[in-house]
Amino acid sequence: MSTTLSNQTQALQTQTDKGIWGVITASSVGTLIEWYDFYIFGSLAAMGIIGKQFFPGDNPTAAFLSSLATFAAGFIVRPFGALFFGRLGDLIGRKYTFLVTLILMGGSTFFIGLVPSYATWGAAAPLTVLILRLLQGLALGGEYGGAATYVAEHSAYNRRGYFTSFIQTTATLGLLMSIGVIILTQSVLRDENGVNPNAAFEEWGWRIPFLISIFLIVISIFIRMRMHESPMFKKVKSEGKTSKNPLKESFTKKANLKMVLLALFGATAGQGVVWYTGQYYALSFMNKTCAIDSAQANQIIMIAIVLVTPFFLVFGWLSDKIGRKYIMMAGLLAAILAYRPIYQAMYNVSDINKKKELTEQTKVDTKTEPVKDKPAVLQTEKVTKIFEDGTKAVLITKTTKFDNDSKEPKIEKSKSITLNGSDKWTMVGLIFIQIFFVTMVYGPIAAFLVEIFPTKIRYTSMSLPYHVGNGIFGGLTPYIVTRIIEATKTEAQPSGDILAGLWYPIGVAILTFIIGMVYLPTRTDKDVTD
Amino acid sequence: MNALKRILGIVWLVLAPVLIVMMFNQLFTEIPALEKLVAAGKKPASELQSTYLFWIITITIFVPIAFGLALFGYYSVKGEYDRDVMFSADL
Repeated sequence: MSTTLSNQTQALQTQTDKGIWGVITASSVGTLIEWYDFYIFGSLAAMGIIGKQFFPGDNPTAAFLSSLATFAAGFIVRPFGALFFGRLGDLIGRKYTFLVTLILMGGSTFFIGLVPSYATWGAAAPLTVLILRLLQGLALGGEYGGAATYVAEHSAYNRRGYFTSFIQTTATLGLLMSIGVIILTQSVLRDENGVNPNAAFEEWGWRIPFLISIFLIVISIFIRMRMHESPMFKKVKSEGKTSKNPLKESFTKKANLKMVLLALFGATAGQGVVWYTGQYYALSFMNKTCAIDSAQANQIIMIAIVLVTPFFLVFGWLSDKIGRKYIMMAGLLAAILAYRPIYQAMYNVSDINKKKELTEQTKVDTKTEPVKDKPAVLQTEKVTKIFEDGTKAVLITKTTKFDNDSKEPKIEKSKSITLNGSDKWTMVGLIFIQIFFVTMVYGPIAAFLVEIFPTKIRYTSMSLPYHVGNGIFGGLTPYIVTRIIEATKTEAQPSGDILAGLWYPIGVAILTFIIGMVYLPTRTDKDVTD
Repeated sequence: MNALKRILGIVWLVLAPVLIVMMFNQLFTEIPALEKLVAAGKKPASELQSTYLFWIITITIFVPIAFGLALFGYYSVKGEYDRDVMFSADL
């Protein structure tokens, strides 16, 4: 095959360059909003709020794991969404398919905000949330492949990495937006004088980020209605070359199936674990393991994301110059080597056992009140500790004593640490490094995936490895890592091995690194008009 | 490089069933141990449920993926990746 592009092909790939920014904006805004919708749930699950609201409260760890399982369910169905909507996109076109995914996502998100809690609705609450979460996953499964394909099919061949990297920023910016809205809602509802300053947010305020999604979706639909069909798809369609059965062609034809497998094991699986370790698990680790105040943890992630996001574009641009492979592989290798030291450093920064307490400033508040509708009293002890370096820790012990003396008192302990300025910036730096690895593996990957599949089955073929890699290998990272840590807990070591879970992302990244280095070619396909 | 691809193909072919066996082995070790702790009242029953849930999800998802890895290994051994297929028009 010739690597020299014909004049006609070049014309097709650059003819719409004048309007490329409109294409990028319209695609990115919709994709960004879909990621936002998808990640509100994850951010609230990582903060433990979904667990408290929708699952039985007798065991907070089990509730947290159940909420992560529901969070994970959204990822598990993403490949099915990719197959269903990918097929549709290859049959009827890119534009209409991702309009449908947008409406499905917006509707599901809005309704999650309306579901009553477990305390009000019982088992129907988690079941309804699970169904809505599955619909979110299906919608997202259909969205990303369409947007990446749409932008790539409008791009000049020598700027495809750069232009598609704008789509690559949307997942991280969607996470940023979801955390930003959560922080804003939290700060508006915060009551500094309360035992738990975030009580109002945890009780009902968490619904607001879900509900406002409906306005964002309407705006996005309006923008997308004005988009035109991809020129390459129009060409294929006008020539009568669209696939009759994209699923069959993608996965039963060996030549194509082997590329799907190569894309999965040689690129997207590793990319997925790096993405979710660097952003989602990092947030969960700060909240649950380091016990950093959720508002501060969110702020740390947000600052890091703002600082590092331009690197998606840098690595997308660079991949047009030097190829996609080595940038992605370098990101994987760096993650493999750095994860354990980084997470150890994160834990050390927030470890109050290593800090000197100013005992004269320690404050203890105790409050006893009857439990509503139960023959019991709730005693709340709040201990506020200040440390020499300016770190503040709030330790809350809630003891429910039952009138019936034979019943054991129920004790719940929680801790919230607010880091001093210097430690906060150290934490920002540690998160920045992790997301920097993400920009390396994720920035060029859309262009890479578009280039290895032909137009008539591109939407279907690239969506599946992407969503299995990113959605399943990556999306399950917080769940699997937390579960591994739980399994290491013993009576002698009640907090378990906090770094043990990292072997999951490291192991998957090693597999992808080896396969990617050995099997992925270094050259870039200039012609995607086939 | 093609020889390395084929040798690694054998590794992937072996690794896939090993991963499946490891998953089942962990499942059959963890669940009975947890059942004993729950029966002794040392752990809440909900922890057993969440452990079952975890293993149902893990096995349902990762067993088919392991088959995919084995297929990838098979294609490697057969030399399907010997030529640098990268251009979509080659497919």
